[in-house]
Amino acid sequence: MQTMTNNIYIKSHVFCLVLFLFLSARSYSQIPEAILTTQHTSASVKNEKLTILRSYEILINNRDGDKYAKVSIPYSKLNKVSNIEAFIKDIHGTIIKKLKASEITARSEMQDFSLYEDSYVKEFTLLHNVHPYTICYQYEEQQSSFLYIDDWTPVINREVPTLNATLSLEVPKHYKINYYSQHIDSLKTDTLENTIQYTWRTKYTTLPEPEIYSPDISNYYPTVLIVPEKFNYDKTGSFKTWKEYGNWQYSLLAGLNVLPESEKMKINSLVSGVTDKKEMVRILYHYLQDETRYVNVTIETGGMKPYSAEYVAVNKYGDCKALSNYFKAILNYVGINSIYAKVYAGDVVRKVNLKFPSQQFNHVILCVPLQSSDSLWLDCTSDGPFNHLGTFTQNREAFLVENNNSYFTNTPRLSKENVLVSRHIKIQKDSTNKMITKFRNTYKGEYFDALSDVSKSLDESSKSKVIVNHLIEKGFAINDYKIKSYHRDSDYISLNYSATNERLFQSYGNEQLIKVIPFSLPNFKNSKVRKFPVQLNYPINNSDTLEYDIPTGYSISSIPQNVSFNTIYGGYSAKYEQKDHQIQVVKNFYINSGNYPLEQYKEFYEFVKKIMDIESNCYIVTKKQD
Amino acid sequence: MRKLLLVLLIICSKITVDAQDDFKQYGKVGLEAIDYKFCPFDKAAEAVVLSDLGESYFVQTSNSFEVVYERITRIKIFNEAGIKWATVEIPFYREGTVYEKVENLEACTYNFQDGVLTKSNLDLANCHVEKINESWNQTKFAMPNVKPGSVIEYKYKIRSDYVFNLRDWEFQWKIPVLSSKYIVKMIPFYQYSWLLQKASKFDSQTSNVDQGLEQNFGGAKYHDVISEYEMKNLPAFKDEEFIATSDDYIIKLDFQLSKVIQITGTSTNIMTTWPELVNEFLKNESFGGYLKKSREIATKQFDLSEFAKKTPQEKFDSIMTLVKNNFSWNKTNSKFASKSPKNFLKDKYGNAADINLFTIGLLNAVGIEAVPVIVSTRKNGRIKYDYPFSRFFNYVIIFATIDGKNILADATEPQAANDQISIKCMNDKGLMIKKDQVNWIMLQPLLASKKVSKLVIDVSDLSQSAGIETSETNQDALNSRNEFASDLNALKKSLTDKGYNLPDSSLSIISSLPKTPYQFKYKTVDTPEIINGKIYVSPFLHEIIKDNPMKQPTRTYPIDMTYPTKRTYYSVINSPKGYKVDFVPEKIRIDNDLFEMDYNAIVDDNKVVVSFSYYFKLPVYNAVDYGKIKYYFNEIIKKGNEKISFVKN
Repeated sequence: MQTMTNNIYIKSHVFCLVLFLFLSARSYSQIPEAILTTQHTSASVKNEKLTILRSYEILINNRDGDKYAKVSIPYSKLNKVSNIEAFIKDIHGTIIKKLKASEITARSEMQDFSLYEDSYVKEFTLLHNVHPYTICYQYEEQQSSFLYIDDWTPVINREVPTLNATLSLEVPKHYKINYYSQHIDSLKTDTLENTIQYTWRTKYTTLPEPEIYSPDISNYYPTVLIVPEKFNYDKTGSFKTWKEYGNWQYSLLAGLNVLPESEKMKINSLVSGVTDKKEMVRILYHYLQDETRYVNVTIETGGMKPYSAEYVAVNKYGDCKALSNYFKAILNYVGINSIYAKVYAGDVVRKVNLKFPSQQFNHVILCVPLQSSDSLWLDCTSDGPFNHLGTFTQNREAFLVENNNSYFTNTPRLSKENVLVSRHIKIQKDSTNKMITKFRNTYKGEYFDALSDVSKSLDESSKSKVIVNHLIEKGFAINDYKIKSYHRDSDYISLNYSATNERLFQSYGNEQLIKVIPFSLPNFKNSKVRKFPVQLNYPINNSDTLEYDIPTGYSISSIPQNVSFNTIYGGYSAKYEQKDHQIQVVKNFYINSGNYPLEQYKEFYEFVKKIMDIESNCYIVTKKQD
Repeated sequence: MRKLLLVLLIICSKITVDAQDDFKQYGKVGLEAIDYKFCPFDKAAEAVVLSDLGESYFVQTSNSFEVVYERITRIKIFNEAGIKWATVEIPFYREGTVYEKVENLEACTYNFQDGVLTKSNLDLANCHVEKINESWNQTKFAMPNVKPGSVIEYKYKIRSDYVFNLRDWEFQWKIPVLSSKYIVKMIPFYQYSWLLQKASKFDSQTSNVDQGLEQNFGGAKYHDVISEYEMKNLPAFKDEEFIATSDDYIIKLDFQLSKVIQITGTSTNIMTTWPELVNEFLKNESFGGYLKKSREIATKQFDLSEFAKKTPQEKFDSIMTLVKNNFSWNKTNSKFASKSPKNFLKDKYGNAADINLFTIGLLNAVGIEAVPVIVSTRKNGRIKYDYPFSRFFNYVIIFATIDGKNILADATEPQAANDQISIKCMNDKGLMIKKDQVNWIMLQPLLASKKVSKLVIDVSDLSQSAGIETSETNQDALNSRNEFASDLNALKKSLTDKGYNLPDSSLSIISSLPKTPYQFKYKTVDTPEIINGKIYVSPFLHEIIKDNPMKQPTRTYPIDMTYPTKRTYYSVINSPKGYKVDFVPEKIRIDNDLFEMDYNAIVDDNKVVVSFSYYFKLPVYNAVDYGKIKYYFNEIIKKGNEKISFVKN
């Protein structure tokens, strides 16, 4: 399992819909389907060339484990794979089938948001019917241009244990490496005549399924990352310090900032008469958003070296690197300094290992320092508001690439106010005397990111599918909806819809219960079940105003009590107010962002549970008037 | 010169396309197309295909023919969502002796800005070839300089020596199409039959003998016959939930080689009749031949004497179990065997045909009447009964007759009962392969898949506890066996996700074997719902769905629910101490051809007994019944979640 890649190609909020989707829920049973009995990786660097031999032995215990008999070996132009050998052993260790070269197939394998990458996989299947059986395979990789000697995680699947894994590396004595390791049992260093040999050893016992708001699972896998201190990847560079790494990245950008004359004329006309720097950046950022689009093409060292500004100016597309570099060139042309900033983007925050200078990033954004105010942060792949970093890039360590002065700084974090979801809900009779519920929802934060993306990038029927399946309050049947977008630089968006819910008013003889529409709370499991700590990357903040028309002929006989409490984890309040034949409910709940260790979970869960209990059983009681 | 659009009347039907000139029109776009703001019959569309023109024709090679496919497509992009249409993929095929090639690719983007029409050509250096798999590749490119308002245009040629399949033509896209035309120039050596799906006729269809020079192939003289098929103003194709595959619903033209005629005059029929097709299968080495060898190998390799004293049912069950336990499916759908029965026996795994045809061989060898039924899986689309094409089928199952009873079976599914086929095969009808006979076998079951839950609920001021026992049959049982089998953790997780709170070790699986219903029982504890001094109890707890699966306001396609379903719930609620029954819901009954529902609550001394059942009677409902189906689900949710209330004595 490769947990990190050397390449950068991410688009801002590529469908944040994952948020709404269910995680697959197959629990692990006692007998593992398969066991990775041995994994040996031996790497050597000779004459600046890296050769790696990888070998695997997988014991397949039952039919469910047969899926591990299908093997995929990644390769690319820079990483050549050869000498694939594979066979099946039965329970007695007898070789019963050997893989023929003709049984190996190859195909492209690229990330789904890419137009093209020169990456492929070789695949084969070695299936046997009598369980258990063992498949053994090995292959060789060769690279002469590399940023990682290896990114080693000897795990084939979270549910498959690894009994015995070793990584060995042999390098010439003068050849310096840096490494980072986690969950590793031992490291042995051996000095031979002309070389040094390192051997890491580890094993892996399975991990439970990741839970809601648990940290990135890669933190829990055994991993060794090794980088050469000096490398040659398009240009020569060094990982000795972050500064030196920054210099190398800076050198890759050299000469890529030339804009065609026609482009310069266009820019002149756009900013003519504008003197305020921030305003200038805003105008040009809008121009960038309107004229270009995200297209990722990665070939050879293209993961680190962007297409030129000229290429983007002609084709009007590029990936995060190319678009950032192009926009940097535009700003440079109008005399505004900006900095190429590398980050590790994603909905879950993953820390950069600051003690290990290496290529730990998957995205590029632009930082524009201004004297008059805070720095501006621009995601050049985003169609979103100016100077807005969403859940994808907020609160990260950004590596700012400058000549001889590269450094880390933090991107702004989303505050409680930045993520507010507020709903104004009216429950009233329509013209046909039917109770109808009208929602006016305004989203910020993750839902803003997702809904804006849905609103802009999907056709009408897919849009309706997403909204109806994921955004409509549970239990409601929708009549119609409307997405309302505001000025392009707003960080909020509205969704208004009307819907019916037959269960909102429940009649029991002379009594009628009116359900107080609850919040959609995150489905935290109780503390006996929870396995991982909680990592909330940004706060959760919801506020509802409900207005119920009490049906004619009924009078209110009881309303829930007002509640309000705050803890270190967050808070909740609900306030009921009766006005004539109407009841207004104002509710709010929020959870603070932060990392809550497992020891604290019991307390954390008590806080969440308290809200769940109030919310799930909350009714206004009315009585038929005599 | 062809007019793409009439400038004044922006009405699609007025757009004329003159196909003869169309291929010369590349690179000449009028301002009309640039000014075009939205599609009049679909104002919300993100883009529209202005014209889509395809042509297939034959060219002579040294001793044979190759077929050339040319296409020119012009698309107008209206908004940001439409920009995805500016990423183009052109698939082509390479396998064995077939070597297709994309040639003469050209593409450009037109923009009209500040009063100037600009044209940006695609730089071919920005085209890339993706290898999809061993046989398919695709040329991919992103059009340059695209934004809302752009018109894009691309054209290419694909040369192929594979004449068996003329390229199909999809008239419909996921965006509206103003004009779509396919031209096929036939030569007398290959005859094709065509099939138009999901439309009754073309807007225009012509067929003429080419007026050009006479052609000569090996002494045979001929003229091309030019057929043109055209459709206009096609609505966007919309994908919906609850359909087996969208391929069944898109408007397209399919071609199939039906006859090959040699220069000598002798001809070979490729397309046949259904009876001939059945007999062809029986003659085929990888079907009938494999079946015969399986029978022979069965008598040699297995001791069949032990079967002699068994009843036919026992014979059938033991053969099915034998195959399921000893051979595994490699997840490949196929109607033809991939190896010899001897090798299958050695490898112990194979595709669907290897396994099921072998099983039929074994069944026959012990004297059970069994024949293959070829089917098209749900993802593969429906069979078109007017067209006896073998390529529609992609799977084979078992049809056995035991004591006069007909059984459909599939030995690739170890978790299925022996008389059960998997959901993927439940697609309309299958064709029985039996000499000189044409029998179509219904694959979608009429027998309902049942689920019964029995609940006993005890409630007090302080807690609410319940014992629940659930039993599932047929497809419901198969789904559970595939999902959980005997894995308590997995089942517990699914119940917890439903909202139950299970005390430790309260869950047990009573039976999970394929031949029995899938049964399990568990306990759950919860806090009681007390409002204003009364206790409210939901008699079926979390058993009833809470959200209507029919979410969209309207429906275009039939609603494919795969199989009929029946749900029955019984609940006994013991009155809490010191309380008496305050309210029970009304009884209700619905019964018609589509659906049945029954609700009944009875107060009996210190307890309330509630029964609720519903039954969707058909596997597939017509689109016109959508409103009713949606309503029934609403009723289920409303009635099934009604509560009983208890008040203090």
